[in-house]
This record gives sequence, C-alpha cells and structure tokens, in this order.
Amino acid sequence: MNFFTSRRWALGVALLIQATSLPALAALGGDVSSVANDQQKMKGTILVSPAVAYTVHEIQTPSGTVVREYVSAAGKVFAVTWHGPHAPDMQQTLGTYFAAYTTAPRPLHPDHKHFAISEPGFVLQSAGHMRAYFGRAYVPQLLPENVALGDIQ
Amino acid sequence: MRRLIALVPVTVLLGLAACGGSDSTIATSPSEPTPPISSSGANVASITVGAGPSAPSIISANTAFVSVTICAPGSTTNCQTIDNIQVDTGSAGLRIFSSVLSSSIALTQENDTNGDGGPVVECTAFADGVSWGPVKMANVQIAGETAASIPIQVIGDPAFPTPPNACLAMGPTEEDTVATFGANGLLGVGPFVLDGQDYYACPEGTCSQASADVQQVANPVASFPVDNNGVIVELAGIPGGVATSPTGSLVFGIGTESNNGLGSATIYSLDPVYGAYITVGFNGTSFPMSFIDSGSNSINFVDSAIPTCSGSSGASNFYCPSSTISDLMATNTGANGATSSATFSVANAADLFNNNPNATAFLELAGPNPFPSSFDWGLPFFFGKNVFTAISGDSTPGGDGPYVAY
Repeated sequence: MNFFTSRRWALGVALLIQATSLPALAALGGDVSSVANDQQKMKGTILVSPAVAYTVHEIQTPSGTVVREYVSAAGKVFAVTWHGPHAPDMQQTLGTYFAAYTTAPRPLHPDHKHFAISEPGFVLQSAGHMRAYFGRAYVPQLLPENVALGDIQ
Repeated sequence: MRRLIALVPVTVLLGLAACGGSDSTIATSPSEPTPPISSSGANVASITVGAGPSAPSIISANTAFVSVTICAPGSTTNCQTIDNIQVDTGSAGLRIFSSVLSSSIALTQENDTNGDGGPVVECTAFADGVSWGPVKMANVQIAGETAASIPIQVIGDPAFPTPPNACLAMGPTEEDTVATFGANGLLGVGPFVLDGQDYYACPEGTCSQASADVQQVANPVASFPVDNNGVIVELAGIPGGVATSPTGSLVFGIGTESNNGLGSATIYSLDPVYGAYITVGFNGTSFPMSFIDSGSNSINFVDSAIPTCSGSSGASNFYCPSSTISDLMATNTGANGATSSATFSVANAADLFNNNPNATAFLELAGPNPFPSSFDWGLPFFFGKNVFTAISGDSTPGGDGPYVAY
C-alpha cells in the first residue's frame, strides 16, 4: 500500500497546485462550479486526475478515507466513491441525494455489511466492516457516454 | 513494502489462473464432510443459526447467535445472560441493546477525564446504518471465559437519545433498537482488537469529540486471561443446502487447548494496513478488498450475468438466477501468498425464502457485492468448516495474527 500511496503523493503534489485554484467540489448531482465545499468540510487534501470523458477529484481525508468525485465534461458530479478505515460523511458526499439514502426501503433479510439502493434516478452500493468501508453512488442519467461502471470505484 | 512486492505477482496470476490447478480445493457443496465440532470445554460457546429476535421487521437469514453473560464490573453475581447476540468476525467489541439489559445490572459509565469531561458515547458505523449509545464497563462472560471490566457499547440508551449530526451523516438510518438491528447485541470477535469508531464526550447532553485516550470498545477475547489469541467458528455442513436453526460452536483460543488446534488448516494472513483483506480471484478478475466474515449473511460478489432478485420479492439484496448455478469456483489468497480454491453455488434467493419459510440457514445464498473490488465470503462459507480468526499482533502456533485459517 505504501508503494501506491507514495506514487499517488507524487502525482498529488503536482496537481495540488492546479486544484487549489479550482472551485471547491460539489456533491453528487451538483455542479462543479457551484460553491459546494466537500473538500473543506472533510478537511481533506485534493487531487485531480483528468480522464477521457470525465475528471476525477480525489479527497484524502485525515482519517485515511478517500472520497472520489467523478465530474463530467458538462461539469456535473455524476458519481462518487469512497474507501478507507472511516465511514465518510455521506450527507456531504451525496448532497441532495442524502434524502433518498435515508428513506430507501430496508431489506427483510439484511446484514450490516451491505446496503444498496437501486432507483431509476439514484444508485448506491455500500459495503464493508469496521475499519474498512467502501462503496459508490451514481446518477444513471448523468453518466457520460462510454463510461463503464467498472471504472467507477 | 516487502509484503506488497510479494503480493503483486500473486494478484496478477490470479487473473490468469483457471480453476483446476494444483491448489487444494475446499468444497462448500452440500455433500461435503463436516470437520469435528468442539462441543465441550470452558472455551466453547454454543452457536445457533436461528430466527433471531427481530421479526417481523427483520427475518434473520444466515445469522449466527450466541448467549453472553453481562455482569457489573468485578461482580460474578450481579449478572444477566442475554441470548441472540450475533457472532461477527468482521467487527470488534461487544454491543448490547439497552432494551434487553436489566436496569439492575450496575454497569459503570465510562467518562472522558480530559477536556470538557462527561460520559463517553459511541457512534458505530455499519454499511447499513449507525448505532448510538454510551460506553460502559462490564464483566463479560462467554462460556467459561471472562473479560473483566472491559468497555462495551450500550446501544439505544434513553439517557442519550439523540446522536450528533456528524454521526447521523455516516449512515442511511439509526439502528438503535432490536427491531431495526436484527439481534439483541453484536459480539465482534474479528482480527482487530479496537473498533476504530467515533467517540464523543457528552457532558450535560451536549456532545463533542472525545479526547483521543478514551478507552475504545474492544474485542472481548483479547481481554480473556487465557484463550485470548483468536476464535474458531465451527458450523456443521448443511446437507440439502437449507436448514432450520442449525448449531455449531464458537471456540476461544487458537492452539491453546486440546480442542482448538490448527490441525491441517491453511493460514491466510490478512492485509494489516487497515482492511484485514484477502484477495479473491473469480471469473478471471482479482478482488483485492475481500474478506471472510461471519457477520455477512451471504456470498457477495459482482457478476453481471446473474440476475438480482426483483424488488417485489423481498430479496432484492440477493441473486435470483432462474436455476441454481453450481460449481462456481473462486481462489482465496492471503497476504502471505497462501492460496486455495473454494467452490460454491448460487440458488434463487426468492425461491429459497418462499419454499422454506421456517428455514434460517441457506448454503447457496448469494448476492451482488456493492463494490467491484470486493468479494465477501459470508456465513455460507462457514458451513461445514472450522474457520479460525487470529487477532492482530497475537502469537499462535501457526504464526502471528491477523489471519484467517480453515
């Protein structure tokens, strides 16, 4: 893990300069140029990685948990992912979709290691156990063309 | 660093390795012979994979329960035995619901002695919700073992009715009652000692982050005077794949008594960085964030070829293939490079529940994993096996934890 972290750090230093001059991040479904401030709320450092159809904004929180926000060329956050030893602030990460998160139907045969929502306008998949949480959420209508769901993690 | 370099080639290989290699194959098919289950000893607690206490809101499936005795700190007489405590090798620490705890048991509230002081209250995050309640000191007895004066969480204590917003923001809902949680409590006997959750100090009802040195809720096994380096979950096989309230044993200690030796079990050491992960290879894909977890009720993995159950089936968190898919194979690889294959089957979950309304154990229950990097071997993996979980940093005859072995 140190190997990957150190490589990410090197890249992060290069991109940090660019990132700090950008507007703060929005939550899921939000506009990247809006005044949402996930990064400040999470007290995280940020890394921006451009991909072909979208940009990944990565927030490394002090707890060690990584939140990634996927921003389309149109400037919309179409997906978010998280992984790390501490559960993320889902209210901040999901933005207006937090309400759908908290009111989703509960399964009849649940366990505490998985939770999923699959609605036409909102998909969330959360898993993990103490000291290891991970998951993703996305808005199907906002997904850019040619984005594979497997790339969102 | 050294560990990771050793891992990379294995991980790469996993994507290429087909089933049928020279590795040993562990079958979870119904015909598998069952290893012996320890039935007696001061270090043996009886497990029932039962219906649970939460119907009708939650119908337990593949949930392993034990009884735990809670006593006032230092007492052997001011005690209460509570059943339907879920056994979870994927968490750390004992949590009990306030509603099942008699008020006559004089547990001691932990206080934050620094900063503003006040009672310590914990916010516990699960993938499906958060649980809020104070940390109290208790003697914890399980079978003949006692952890003296350890911190446990009492969830849903009416003295602390409202979690802070930062707690509520971590999950979709509060799970502060037996009806919403699915058990009378949770016994975390996983590979880590401490639970790594959020602790608050709440003087006069106002909560702020507790100081860093408050005692965390911890795996009680680590506080036993003996048999304290891990556990074995021993469950009988399920001939036919479906059973009602099958039993087994939760055995304390690894290689510390005549009934808890490793025998021929293979050790898969766990990624110690934070996740206690193993790597699973399946369908030509490597899943590096995988785990073996008695607290998961099914086998969870990504396979877009298997349909998920419909929402109206009441089983939408599981797979519903049109007919049972048999002889699937996955490869487990530990951080130490140890590797073996395991076969499993995926049945139609809606049919399993509809056709067996009284059943509580389902060998072939599987579901989609929310995250494509992870393969989660839940309780179905444990049927017909003795699965060892060694605590991080503790020595055993097979080496130091953290590891799983079977």
